[in-house]
Amino acid sequence: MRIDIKGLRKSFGNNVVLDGIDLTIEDGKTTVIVGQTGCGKSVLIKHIIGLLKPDSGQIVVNGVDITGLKHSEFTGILKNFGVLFQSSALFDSMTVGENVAFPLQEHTGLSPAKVMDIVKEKLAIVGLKGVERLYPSELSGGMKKRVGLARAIALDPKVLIFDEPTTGLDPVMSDTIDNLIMNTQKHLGVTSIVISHDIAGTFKIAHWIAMLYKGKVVLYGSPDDFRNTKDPIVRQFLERRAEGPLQVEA
Amino acid sequence: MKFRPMAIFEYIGARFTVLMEELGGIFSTFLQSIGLLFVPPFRLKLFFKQMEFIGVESSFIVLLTGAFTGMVFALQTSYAFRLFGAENLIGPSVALSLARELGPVLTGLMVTGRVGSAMAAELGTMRVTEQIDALSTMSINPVQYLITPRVLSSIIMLPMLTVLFDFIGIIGSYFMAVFLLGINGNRFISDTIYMVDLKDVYVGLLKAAVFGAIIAVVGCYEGYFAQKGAEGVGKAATQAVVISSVSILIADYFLTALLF
Ligand SMILES: Nc1ncnc2c1ncn2[C@@H]1O[C@H](COP(=O)(O)OP(=O)(O)OP(=O)(O)O)[C@@H](O)[C@H]1O
Ligand SMILES: [Mg+2]
Repeated sequence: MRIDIKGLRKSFGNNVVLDGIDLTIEDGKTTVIVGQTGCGKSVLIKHIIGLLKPDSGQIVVNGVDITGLKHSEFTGILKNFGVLFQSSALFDSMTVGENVAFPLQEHTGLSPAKVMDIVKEKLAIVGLKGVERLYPSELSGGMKKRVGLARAIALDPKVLIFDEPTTGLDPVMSDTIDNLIMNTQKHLGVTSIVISHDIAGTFKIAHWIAMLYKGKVVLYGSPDDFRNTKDPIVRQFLERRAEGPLQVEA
Repeated sequence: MKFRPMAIFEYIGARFTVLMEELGGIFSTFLQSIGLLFVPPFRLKLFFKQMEFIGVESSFIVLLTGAFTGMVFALQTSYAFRLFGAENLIGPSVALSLARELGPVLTGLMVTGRVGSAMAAELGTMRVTEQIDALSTMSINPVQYLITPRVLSSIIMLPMLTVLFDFIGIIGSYFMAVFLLGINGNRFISDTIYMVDLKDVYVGLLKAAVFGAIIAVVGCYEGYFAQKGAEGVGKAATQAVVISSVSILIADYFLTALLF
């Protein structure tokens, strides 16, 4: 699915978060969004999944502008999305197994045994075994994230939207998740939008990278474009230096 | 700061505006949740879970408060009725007050404290931790999934709890009257049955159903629209109890005026 974001603006009170974002998410490719903490990455993807309404601008998914759609009209599009929230957003009244099974039970007619199989399979993909009966409150932060991932991929969605899938994971586990994203893209042609603070992982998985700064896209390009850029703000960010033109907001 | 006597009017005016907005939101949430009752999918499991939480798990506090309300009421009325030798009216007057007023209202207030605040806290936590957002991104209508079962279960369970309250209250007053005040037991029962109409009971139960709707809708509304953070969740729970208690008392007045 192709997603075109056009002139997207969003403010909360006086806080201008998105100040005219133009960005294309190419079909079947992985686009990584990077930027400082608080720069509006999560806000941007919440617009794509319809949780926030823009002040102005458009979000066009496969030719349909979703910003004007009613929730009921939007659900058809949403069914193609698998979303991992930054906070994981697991249902804390359900076990891990029930969390991953939930989208399957709601949207497929599969038998409980089949659902159980898929739950096990998806949990295994994210490196979890034998945790089905635990509650989210009994998991570590990294485990929650991976359960959230398993839930997001449960229905084999066409579009994966991952808000910091590897933050809080050890390097080996991060690489496992990166491989998961690359493999689903390669084999199933999934479109992925990934928010990440992990520069090495970003260069590994991204076809396209967009960097947000002060409510705008400062650079959109391939990983090579990013490696070769002379833009001082992007350079400073990639080289993780505190000194430079990039302003750290108080 | 200068003393401004008009400030109290400003304060009340401002509060009133906020209250009206809130009531509007609560009412539209109610309509939405009831409308979604008739739209598939129907998730029976969620209803049963809520009925258990609201009904079964409230039965003990309803039992306790019902028994003591009946007892204290028998005791209080006995002082008055004894003055003019009308002790035989203790039974009927306790039963009438329980069925018409005290049963539904006290059950409503007790359940508000337990269930209304819990609903607000639970939905508030789900809001703050993005679980409600997660539901919508899975194309599940969160109002239908979360609020509809709570509202319907509460509407069904409150009358049942009220029946329990009335029943236990009358038993409490019977024990008080017969064993402690020495009133004839058969007389107590026959007078009570003679004086209490079925209408008194079912209007009381109708009230209870309305209170049930108030408790669940207010609790859910406050939680669903909770502000960020732990503070927001706490505020939602308090607000739920305050608003639904006041609403129950106000609704009680109008229902009494209209229905009896
Ligand atoms: N619901 C909201 N109400 C008000 N302000 C909000 C809301 N959501 C986000 N913001 C503000 O929008 C800005 C961007 O937040 P966002 O969560 O998108 O940052 P981010 O880029 O995802 O940061 P991080 O890398 O730390 O996750 C912040 O200043 C935040 O305070
Ligand atoms: Mg974020």
